[in-house]
Amino acid sequence: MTKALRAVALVAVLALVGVACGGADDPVEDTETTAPGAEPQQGGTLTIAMDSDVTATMDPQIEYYQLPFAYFRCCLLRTLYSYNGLDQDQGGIEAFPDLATGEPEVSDDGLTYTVTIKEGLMYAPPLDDVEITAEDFIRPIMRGYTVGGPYMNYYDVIEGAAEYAAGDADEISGMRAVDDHTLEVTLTEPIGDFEYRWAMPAAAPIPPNPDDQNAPFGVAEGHDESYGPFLVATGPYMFEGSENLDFSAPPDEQEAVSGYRTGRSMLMVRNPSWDQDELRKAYVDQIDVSIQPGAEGSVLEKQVANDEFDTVFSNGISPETLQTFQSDPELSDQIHMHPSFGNYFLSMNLAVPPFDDIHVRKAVNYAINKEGWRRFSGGEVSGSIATHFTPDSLLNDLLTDYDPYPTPDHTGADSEEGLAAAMEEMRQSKYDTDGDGLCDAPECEGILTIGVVGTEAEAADALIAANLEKIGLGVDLRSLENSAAYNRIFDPKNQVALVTFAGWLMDYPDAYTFYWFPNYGGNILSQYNTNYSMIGATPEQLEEHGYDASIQVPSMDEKIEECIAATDDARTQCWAEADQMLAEEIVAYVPLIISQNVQIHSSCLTNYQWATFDSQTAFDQVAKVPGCND
Amino acid sequence: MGRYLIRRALFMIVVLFVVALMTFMIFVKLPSGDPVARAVGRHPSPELVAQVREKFGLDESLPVQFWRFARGIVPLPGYWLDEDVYFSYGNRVAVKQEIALRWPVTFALTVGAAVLWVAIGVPIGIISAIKPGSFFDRIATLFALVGVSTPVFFLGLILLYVFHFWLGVAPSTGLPRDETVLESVLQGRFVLPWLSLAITSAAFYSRITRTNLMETMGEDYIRTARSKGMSERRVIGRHGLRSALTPLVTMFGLDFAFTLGGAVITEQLFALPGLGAYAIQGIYTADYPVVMGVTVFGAFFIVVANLVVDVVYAALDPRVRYA
Repeated sequence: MTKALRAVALVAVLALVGVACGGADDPVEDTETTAPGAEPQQGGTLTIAMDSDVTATMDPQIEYYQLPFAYFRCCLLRTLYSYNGLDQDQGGIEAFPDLATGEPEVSDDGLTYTVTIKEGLMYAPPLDDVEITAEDFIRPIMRGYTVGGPYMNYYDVIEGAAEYAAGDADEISGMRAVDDHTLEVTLTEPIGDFEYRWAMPAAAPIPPNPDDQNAPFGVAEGHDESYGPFLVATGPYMFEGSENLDFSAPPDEQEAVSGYRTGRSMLMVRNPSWDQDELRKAYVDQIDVSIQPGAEGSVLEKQVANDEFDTVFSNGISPETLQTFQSDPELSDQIHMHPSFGNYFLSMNLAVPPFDDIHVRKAVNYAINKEGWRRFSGGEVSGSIATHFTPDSLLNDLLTDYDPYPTPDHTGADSEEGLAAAMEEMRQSKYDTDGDGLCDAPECEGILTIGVVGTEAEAADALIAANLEKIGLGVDLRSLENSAAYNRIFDPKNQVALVTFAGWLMDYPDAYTFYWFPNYGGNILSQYNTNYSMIGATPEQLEEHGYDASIQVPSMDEKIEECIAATDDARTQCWAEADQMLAEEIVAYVPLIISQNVQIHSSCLTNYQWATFDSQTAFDQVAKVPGCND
Repeated sequence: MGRYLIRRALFMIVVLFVVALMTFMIFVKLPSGDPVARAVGRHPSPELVAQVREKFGLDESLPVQFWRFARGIVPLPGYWLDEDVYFSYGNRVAVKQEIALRWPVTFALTVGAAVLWVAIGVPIGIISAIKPGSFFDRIATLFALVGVSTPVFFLGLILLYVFHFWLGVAPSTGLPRDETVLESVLQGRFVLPWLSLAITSAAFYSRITRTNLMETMGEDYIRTARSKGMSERRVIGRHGLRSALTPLVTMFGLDFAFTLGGAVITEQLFALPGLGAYAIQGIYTADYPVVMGVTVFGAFFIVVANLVVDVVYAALDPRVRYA
């Protein structure tokens, strides 16, 4: 062997030795599991991998994303009201008292809410000697307005909030700490979802700064851009290193917690100030989150199957992994599928011909092959066929059997009956000039349609285009990159006639969040408008955005206002009626699917629970098999 | 040489300015995400939109916006990636701070890969040039073809699946929180990333080395050296390699600097929190300051590497002198 070749061989050997000496993770040893029926054991570290980062460094007033919401609820922050981290059948979408002693007392006019705070509850270190008091619930609302929280509009209903947000007042007049344990909130109009709004992370208490009692935002003072790394917890867990937070230093000299490395990892450890609460079990000792933006999904999924991570949060489980988990007897109980509180729908612009004609819109509802759309979008795992706009779980299943535009197997115009129904509806339209069931007026061609790029999305869009072609509607389909597509539809002046990728997701489990923004005429915005269909647009609004002001756009504003003020069963019934109105009188959408979330987990988890509100694994309910992958 | 270095330093500012301008224009002109949309939520009031736009500096005119970014390319304290301008729209963390945290990961990845691709590619090329047409040369050619043709992403996945998931001899992806970068290197966590990044370059370098050396060995002065009775080893080592490897120095400098700017695919695949992963995340989320910052940082290194290469080139080739 020549010397050169020996050198090459040496390099190769060294490389292999280096790999071997680096060592693989020790193989998972057989460990004893929890006996059936036994209380899950405390202990262990729950390991989570995320393939995307949180959106605002865990700042509770600014975060507006599913996973941080889950971390706040399960683990870091208690709120006046919160969820129990269980399935819907076990009350998973009810807002239970958390820091409040019970339901609020409501005045007869429905405008004043009085909430009693539990006594003796302390913050996490370093403020473990500071009790949670009523004043602490006013700071987060004020801070939310000051730092530009993305969903502070839910608190606009508080008296004085608008003035404070506009800078015309130094405080919110409608919020008052009657005493240390009594909070009074005065509203400008009645609402039926007070507990839900105060269950959101933005309403979580912020403690005062013991070294600066005058700081209006307490310990969050000076951290306008990012309070997350300085968060003082109230839940079962806190960021590791929280005890070292020093709020006596000026904000820009304070050191962030060691347990949160932005963009890379989070380590949550037990909060010694937390004793048991009714909603959270908190079996594990630690929650170790690895943030890996853009990571290869199949690798993360394989690592879960290998018990290297306990679970993964990603944009979706790959079909291959799905099949692996479902077909392998050893993995089949480690995959869970549950409906989410989100939907996908086709959105028609009621102010753009030919969609200004209700018969055209109804014809489209008959024509779309929803089953085919679902097949192109991932199949049954992507969700269940939607026959109306609002998820049934938000309507107490009042409309489970409601399908105003039925076609055989939801195949739309790809079935004889579906096509016949669509054409029959089209015949009644002014745009079918010869009554043959096909749209033939000039407005029926070149319909500006926005979709998104991607193999599945474009295949689904092609199906939609083909279905519409069968009733004489010709689309001008523009498939754009996701962000560019949203830029296009956010501006009503672009007069997009059809949106093929529209979707909606609840902020909290009340149908209000499905109606207020996308369906209320008063919420048509010039920028970042989400009322794509221009429902309820007045002639003035139409003119402002360059539409034909003579078009009569139907409105459901009155119905929405009626439902907002309703409570309990009457509220649910009202939203069900609104849903039917949307389907039969407004007809702005073709509901496609109610989406589904899929989660996989390692064999090291026991007591698996699905948190319906979080739409994923309940981190505060699961336990670990002792010694497994720790 | 002093005047030369000063000229190059000034030229570096010009290059960075052009790079920054082109990057800025890409964001302005091409369809991209709206960073404000991500920050304002689903139903922002006009006041909130205005507040966020002001916070991000997007309420200014385009020339003003660019000027604010451009000031940050001057590599002097108080200017370089100024924290008031170069902060992530997503997590509000200063870009400079993130680069400082992530740079060691990319550096470790790049240095290791560079050592490997030179250590593998150059010897293979030398041996192939010495023994053209031999069995080894044919194997080396096959290695080059496969190496150059295989995408880094695919290669990395294969390595991961074979050595970690199947054989269980390599660590998993990612770096544990309680390990420094050096500790992770010593634990072997960079070996698979090094290999996946190095193999393609090694294949390329083996062919370049082979071609250059074969060409050099055909020169008259090589024949003269042989005819003087010099041993073949001395002929190759003292005369042949020096000329053959000089172009490789240029290539290496540029390749190293380019990789230092962020081996995006490798970092993403192996969950290494380096600059490449940071940059790609910024692109996905239309986080202009992040992309600008990493681009300027990467460009800075390429320019500096170019300078180093030129100086080394002058040291290798006495005919080259700079005024």
